[in-house]
Amino acid sequence: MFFKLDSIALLGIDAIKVSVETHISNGLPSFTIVGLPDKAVNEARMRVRAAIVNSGFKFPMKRIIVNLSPADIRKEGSYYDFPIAFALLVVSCQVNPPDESFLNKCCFIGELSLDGIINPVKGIISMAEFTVNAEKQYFFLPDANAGQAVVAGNINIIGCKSLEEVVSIINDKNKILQKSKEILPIKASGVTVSPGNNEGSLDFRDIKGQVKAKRALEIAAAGMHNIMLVGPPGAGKTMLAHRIISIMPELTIRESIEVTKIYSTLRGIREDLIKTRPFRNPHHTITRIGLIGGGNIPKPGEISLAHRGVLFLDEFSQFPKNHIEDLRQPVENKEIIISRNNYFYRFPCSFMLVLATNPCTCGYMGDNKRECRCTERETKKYWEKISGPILDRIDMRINVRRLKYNDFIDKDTGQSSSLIREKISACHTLQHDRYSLAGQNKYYNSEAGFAFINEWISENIDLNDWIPKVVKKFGLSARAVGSLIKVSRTIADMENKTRIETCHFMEALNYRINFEYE
Amino acid sequence: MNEDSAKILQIINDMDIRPSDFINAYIKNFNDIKKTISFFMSNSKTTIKTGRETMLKKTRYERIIKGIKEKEFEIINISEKNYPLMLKEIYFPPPLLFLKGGRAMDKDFYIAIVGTRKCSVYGRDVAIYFSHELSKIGITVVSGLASGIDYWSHKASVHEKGGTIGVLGCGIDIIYPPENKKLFLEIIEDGSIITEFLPGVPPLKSNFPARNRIISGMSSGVIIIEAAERSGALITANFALQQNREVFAVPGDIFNISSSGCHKLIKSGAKLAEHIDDILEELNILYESKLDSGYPIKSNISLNVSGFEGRHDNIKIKRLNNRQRIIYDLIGKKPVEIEELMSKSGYNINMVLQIISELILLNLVIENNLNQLIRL
Repeated sequence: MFFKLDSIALLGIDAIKVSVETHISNGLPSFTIVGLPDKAVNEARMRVRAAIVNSGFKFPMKRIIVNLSPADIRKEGSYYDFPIAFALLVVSCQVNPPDESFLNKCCFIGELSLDGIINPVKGIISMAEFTVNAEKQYFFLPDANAGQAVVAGNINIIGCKSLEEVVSIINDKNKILQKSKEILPIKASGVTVSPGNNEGSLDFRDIKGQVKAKRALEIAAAGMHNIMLVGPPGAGKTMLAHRIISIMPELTIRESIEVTKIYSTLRGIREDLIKTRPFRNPHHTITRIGLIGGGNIPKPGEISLAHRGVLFLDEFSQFPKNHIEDLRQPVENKEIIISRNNYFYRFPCSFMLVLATNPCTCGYMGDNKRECRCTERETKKYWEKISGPILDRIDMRINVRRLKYNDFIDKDTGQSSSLIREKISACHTLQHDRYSLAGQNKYYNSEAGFAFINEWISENIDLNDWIPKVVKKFGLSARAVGSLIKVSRTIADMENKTRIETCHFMEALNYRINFEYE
Repeated sequence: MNEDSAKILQIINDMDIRPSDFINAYIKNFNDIKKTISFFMSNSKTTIKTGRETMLKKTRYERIIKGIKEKEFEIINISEKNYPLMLKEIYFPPPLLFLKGGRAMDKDFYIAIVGTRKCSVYGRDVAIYFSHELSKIGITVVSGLASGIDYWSHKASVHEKGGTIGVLGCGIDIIYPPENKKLFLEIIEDGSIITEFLPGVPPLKSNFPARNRIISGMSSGVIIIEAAERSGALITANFALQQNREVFAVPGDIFNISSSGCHKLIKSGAKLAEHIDDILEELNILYESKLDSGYPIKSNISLNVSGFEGRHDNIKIKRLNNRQRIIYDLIGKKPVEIEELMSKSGYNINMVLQIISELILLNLVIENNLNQLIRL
């Protein structure tokens, strides 16, 4: 006897189809799983046997072979417990589907516990999206996962609590209809995506002085522009950077899906969606794989975990040169592709890069209180490490100075984070609308292509005069001009202007040019 | 290069005559260059030395000739008109000068600005202030093309009316320190670089005191900004005293080591310079005393002490709009913070930043890495 049903395997955050083929024949009772199973998949035999028996079904005492095809891709995890158990029930005629082709329209995924309860699994959003693309009609999955899966859209999500329930649903056509009409709520996840950043208690109001830096961070957050903070120790770079997330609005549903997809392959996010924006702050001792992603079985790195959020690299100059160079391509392409012999693993990484560093080795260059003890050569070497190509990709560069005695008693510390967040939220919506209207899969000004940039320039004739002057005076690259225009666009968006005025361009210029280290 | 220079080069390069011997002979011949040359030419013993040394000299000579042919640099000798006038007066002037660029060599007034290589923000600002103000009214700034004070002195004067001259402690074909390459190119375009050393001579430690004597020798006065107790700048000051030049010293922070050299100079009689007037005053006296003794005046720069300030930028300033003008007026010679500009003008941050960009584009102000603004 032979039966085949469809399940799914995860490769990175992409899903591919896996057929669970079962064959039962006479002979000495045995149970074998083939098709490159890992330890967890092989152990499914035990769980399947116990779950079937404990759910009140009969385990076929025959020679059982289960093949997971395609057989050359490594299968890992506990995803196949439920499909295998269900296939065994079908093949041993313990289930009566409404019609023969019904099971071909279904997809199964889930982990079994010994008593037949179906436990949630990782990476469910990618799988749900796959079932939609594969034109399946029903997706049987653990009940706890259903809340995540509904975001995929046009498919009947059937959350199952136990093996017994599944059989009763499939045996009854009405139950299937009823189950697939249930509207499931989307819950916000409590999983922390910003380790070490005490969300909620940080506010822009805590910062005294630093008006320019605060304004720049506001703009950077509004358009997701990369920003660099340079200043002596104790100037408040880290303090500023940690507060960026407090002025950023929650993820939109589309962003939330993207972020949850990445996190659910790594962490145990199985039931709900991530709503808060990630803020990743890896230490400079991080490995290349930890930062960029990779490994024997490729996993997303910090740059992907910061997707749609902030990647904050504090003490940037302390990062190994290799790491710094590795960042070039992901910052530009907004995704990283890790290739293995039989597959490309694609991880999105559209993050806002925030860098903080001292101006020189001793840290006090340009400070008016303490003398810098570095030689010119040391300083030059220091800035050579933070290479030109990566600096060129930083849209805004801000000098942060140490507070003076009279700054400490300054009572007016500007707007609170929640007020700024509202402004930025409106600005984000404006940008989302712009790019969805153009039919592009982009959300923010920092991602805008050259077509947009050229259009924006042509909207204001004055810019055509200014740009050559500015390029000549400051020696800007084409990319730098592009980023200048993008930042200008964000400033204009914050004021809700339809075109970039010259004053917006001038302000954007200020964040680019007053930086003498390049 | 004229014929004389070629011959002097031959004498110094091929015949192993020391420059000092040449100068001695030159003085003995009552500053007649032709006689001096023929004296050496006739006395030359054409001894054939070891092959290798002759070859080295020959290649060096060919390199120099090639460099001149390709207009890489020029040579001027002591009898020529564009040889700095005051340099001829010193105890031991170089018979030949290698020259790149060539602008600013015909000026009347040279002021040297020297100081520490590792300058503070204050030192930098002082250097920029003096250098820029002096060059704006037509006085040429001379310095040593090192980093620190030298760098900023050149930088602030290179595109101005007076221009700038850099004096090297190595061959003209060597850029030292290498990080000044951009400045080198700027000076070659708009000023001059000179040296007494033959092409290919590396920047040896011993060359620099010799260079310092040229810096002070060709200038009417030397301004010392930020010098520690044992600084090269003090050597220049010593030369200046020996050569009867004015020595100015800019005071600094008494708790800072890098002011002690300047303070020592002031204590022993150097003129304290806190304003450009202090220098012009001294110069005026010099200028007039030379007038009395029938010293020829070449150009007609007026050393009018009052009214020079910002003359160059006046037109630009008049064209500023109201807002730009308000911000510009709030920015002075002392660094101003953006916060202060905001509170005094009543503008919000984006307005202030945008006006600052406009002023920077007009070359009226600069922003340092403390978010402070200074007038250029």
